[in-house]
Amino acid sequence: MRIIVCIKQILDPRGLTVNRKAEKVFVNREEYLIDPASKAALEAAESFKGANAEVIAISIGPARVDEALREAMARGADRSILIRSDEPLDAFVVANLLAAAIDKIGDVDLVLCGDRSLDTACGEVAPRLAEALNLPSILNAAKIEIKEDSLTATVRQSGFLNVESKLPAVVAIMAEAFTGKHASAWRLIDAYKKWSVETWSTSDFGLSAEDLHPLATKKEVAFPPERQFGTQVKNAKELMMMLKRERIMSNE
Amino acid sequence: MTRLTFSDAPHDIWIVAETIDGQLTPLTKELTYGARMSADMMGFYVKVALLGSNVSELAAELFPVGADRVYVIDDARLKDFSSDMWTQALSDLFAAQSPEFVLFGATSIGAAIAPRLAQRFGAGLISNCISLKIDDFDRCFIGRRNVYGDEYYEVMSTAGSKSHFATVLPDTFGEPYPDASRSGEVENIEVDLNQIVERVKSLGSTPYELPHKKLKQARRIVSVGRQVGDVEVAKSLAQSLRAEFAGARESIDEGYIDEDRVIGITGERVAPELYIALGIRGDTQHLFGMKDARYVVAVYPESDAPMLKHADAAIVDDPAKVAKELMQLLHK
Ligand SMILES: Cc1cc2nc3c(=O)[nH]c(=O)nc-3n(C[C@H](O)[C@H](O)[C@H](O)COP(=O)(O)OP(=O)(O)OC[C@H]3O[C@@H](n4cnc5c(N)ncnc54)[C@H](O)[C@@H]3O)c2cc1C
Ligand SMILES: Nc1ncnc2c1ncn2[C@@H]1O[C@H](COP(=O)(O)O)[C@@H](O)[C@H]1O
Repeated sequence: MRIIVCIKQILDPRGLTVNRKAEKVFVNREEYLIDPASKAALEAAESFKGANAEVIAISIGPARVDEALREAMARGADRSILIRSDEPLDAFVVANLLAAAIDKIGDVDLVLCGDRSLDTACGEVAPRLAEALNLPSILNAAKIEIKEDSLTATVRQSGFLNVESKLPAVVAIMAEAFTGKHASAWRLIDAYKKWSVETWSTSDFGLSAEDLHPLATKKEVAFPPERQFGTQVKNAKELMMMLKRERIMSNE
Repeated sequence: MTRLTFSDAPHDIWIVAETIDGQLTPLTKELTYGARMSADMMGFYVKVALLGSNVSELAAELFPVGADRVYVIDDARLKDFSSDMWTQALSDLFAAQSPEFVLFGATSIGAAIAPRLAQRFGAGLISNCISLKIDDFDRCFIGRRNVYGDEYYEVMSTAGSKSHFATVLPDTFGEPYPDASRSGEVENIEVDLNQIVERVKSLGSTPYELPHKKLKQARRIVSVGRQVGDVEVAKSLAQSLRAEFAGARESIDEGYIDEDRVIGITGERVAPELYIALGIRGDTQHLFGMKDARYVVAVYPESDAPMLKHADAAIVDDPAKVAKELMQLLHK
């Protein structure tokens, strides 16, 4: 069985200071990490390793993503592929490239993504990729099991729900599913000393210029108003309204 | 890939409606109303795609909040949400109507179908918008989305795309002011869903618990101090909010928490999106552990507690009482 795990590398938010008054994001420490949802997807893939599964990690991005892919190998991936791109990306382009790479690899039974990345949280890549590959998609998954040619997933709705689909399929794993397991130390050493990351180019797949052109682009950044400490609130109802206004309750 | 193509004539803003227990969701009405405000400026029509089973009579509720035309696809197979059925039904409708601007709710339904349809039609998509407008110069969506939780925003644009999609969070456009005198047209659409087989089958609900989060990684924390009043209420609130439970050092003596759940200089340092301090006075040793929280709520019975001054929202009241009321509001 061949499993693809799509990995996004993000800027570590612990190195950022957001200054709302100056309307600036200061990067004190430029370090990158594997997006937590992608890490949860990797962990889900690793659980099938005993069952004759080959796990391939793929990421699209600049040269620095090499590090994320080595960590992915330390976390269980047998092979890793960097699709090298220094251009701005959006979920449309990412999905087109991932779909083309998955076609090129061939015989893929399962594609795992993170459900929403920690930085932009758009959650578009998995359903777009499923569309591009014409496969079913299961989002918000906490756990998956494979039985021969089908898959059962536990997904979060308001509570939890079991769903079933034939393979191949695209499954998006939520970051909360991650158990916090560390990479094995010897694999980490091998990932740097023995193994290598394959590098592919965005021109390897015969995609059109249109397919590589982002349809959503970032214009600028903006900031919430400065915090007002000590604001008195009368009761629970007013508090609820404030939490909604601050969008703390929007993601229920 | 079939891209949508358009005439230069004034176009429309579409909304994909959602229902729950046979009623339109409040977000559907809010989106319709928001679309109406933009449409008035642009000279556009507001059109709603209403999918489901026995939903026809709901169309009339969309006119007062701004719809000009409602396209109803009433089919027994659309009764419960199914990604494949809904995608196909909307895909057929969009292929016939070439919508230029489409709003979806930022809900589990929107998250499942908006990216699929955007990929199918080559549309620019901005997900989870907290503000959204149509730029009349570039004729595109300009929308804001949160980055890193809610630390700051990115302003996204779909300029250059032929069609423009967005998923929108609640409270972006605000409560609609219905105009009872408005009216509109209903068009019933037949789509052929016979060829479509839903590829993901539901096997029903199941009990499941996510792995226990370390306090450090928690997105929400309900934290208690000696003055919490009723610790069980605080625990239930944590559960309803899917928050981790923690406390001030004194709470160990009260038997409220274990040593590993203490927040402060001799405990954990945390940075959740939401920190609710119930009955914590807020001595410096405690504040040290939670000052990086993005949003702090403090409830304390006496008004001189330092915790209140370090909170974004401060309530002087019985913490257990407020926690109970908050829980009732959450379950509504
Ligand atoms: C070295 C050190 C390290 C500490 N580290 C931590 C830490 O990591 N995390 C943490 O939460 N706390 C820590 N504390 C304890 C901290 O100072 C507070 O006592 C505690 O946070 C208050 O908990 P509370 O708000 O639940 O108590 P509350 O009972 O709401 O308030 C306690 C406050 O009221 C005063 N008080 C309460 N009852 C009485 C009484 N009967 N008579 C007089 N005064 C009273 C106490 O002096 C204290 O300041 C530390 C204290 C010390 C000295
Ligand atoms: N550049 C990328 N390369 C590989 N996978 C990605 C990339 N961007 C996003 N993904 C995948 O899509 C998931 C969700 O990301 P997003 O759609 O950005 O919220 C991530 O967790 C990854 O699994």
